Amino acid sequence: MIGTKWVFRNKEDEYGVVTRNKARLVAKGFTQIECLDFGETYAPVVRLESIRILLAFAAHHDFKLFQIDVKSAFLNGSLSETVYVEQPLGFEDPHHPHHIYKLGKALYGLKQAPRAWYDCLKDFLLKQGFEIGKVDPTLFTRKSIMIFLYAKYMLMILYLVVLMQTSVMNLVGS
Amino acid sequence: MMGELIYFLRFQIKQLKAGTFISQTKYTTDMLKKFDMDKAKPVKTPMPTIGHLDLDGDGKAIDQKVYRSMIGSLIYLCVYRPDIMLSVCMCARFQANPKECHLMAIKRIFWYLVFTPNLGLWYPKGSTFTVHGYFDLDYAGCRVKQKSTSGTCQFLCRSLVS
Repeated sequence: MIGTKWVFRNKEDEYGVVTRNKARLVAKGFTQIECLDFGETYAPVVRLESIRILLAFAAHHDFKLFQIDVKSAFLNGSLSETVYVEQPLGFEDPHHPHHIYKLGKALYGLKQAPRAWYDCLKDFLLKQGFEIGKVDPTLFTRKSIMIFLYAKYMLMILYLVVLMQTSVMNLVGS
Repeated sequence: MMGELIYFLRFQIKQLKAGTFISQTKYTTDMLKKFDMDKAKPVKTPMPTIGHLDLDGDGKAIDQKVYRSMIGSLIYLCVYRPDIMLSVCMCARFQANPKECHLMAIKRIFWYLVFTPNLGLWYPKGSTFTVHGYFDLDYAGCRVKQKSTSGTCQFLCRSLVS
């Protein structure tokens, strides 16, 4: 069983003024035991060369690039292992204080969370007809659409960048 | 955060009619503030012409943690600032036992960044989509172990990619 913790963050805008207060429930991943609570943890991260090549390619062809951010991305990944967590602080069930939760989806802080999210997104994109990059597994391509996948572990935020070219955007660009 | 690609992984991206400009201006200014260097006097070059450092065994030892965090911040800046790559890598070799002269070399890079916070890479709209590569070598240039330093850069049409 893994403990949980609340993490509170103030989001600031570019002038340092607090704009939003965020709360996030995280799992204490450091108490996880290998083979029991998690198996594979490796998740690919984008190569900077790929970004530069893509930007150069887009600039050359006069494409307009767009970005997408998936909100609380890691919560979307489904787990292949069974993981139990404690009841979150302040939200204990008064009738069953000693019960624990079984996780259906990943939680921030879990060791396999990045991988679970990558798998989830990969499956989705492959289903949409994208092809996975041979050298860089975070580059997904489809005829006329390219997708990059980024995981920033420090902030545990995952950026999904969709870079697409449409004829309309081309008109706007040129 | 959805829309046109503007700010991403701490790179600022400007998509203009003539091409794309990528810089790390905000990252640079934030980093200078973090290390209390934003008021320093600007210098026009990242290192002196005879820039080779040596071990300096008798020098005064300095805080390894600060030195390493400076190197770490600078390495991320190298992504779109290849001009400081050589100087940063030179300083990074002495992380195991940093002395005062190495810290001065790092500060020199910071002063250079104060002078040039807005530099970045410019990806123009090209005509031919070809790859060019350039290579340079400093044979046995390292003062400590006589190792060679080599560097390469590849251009895709007129845009630096690696």
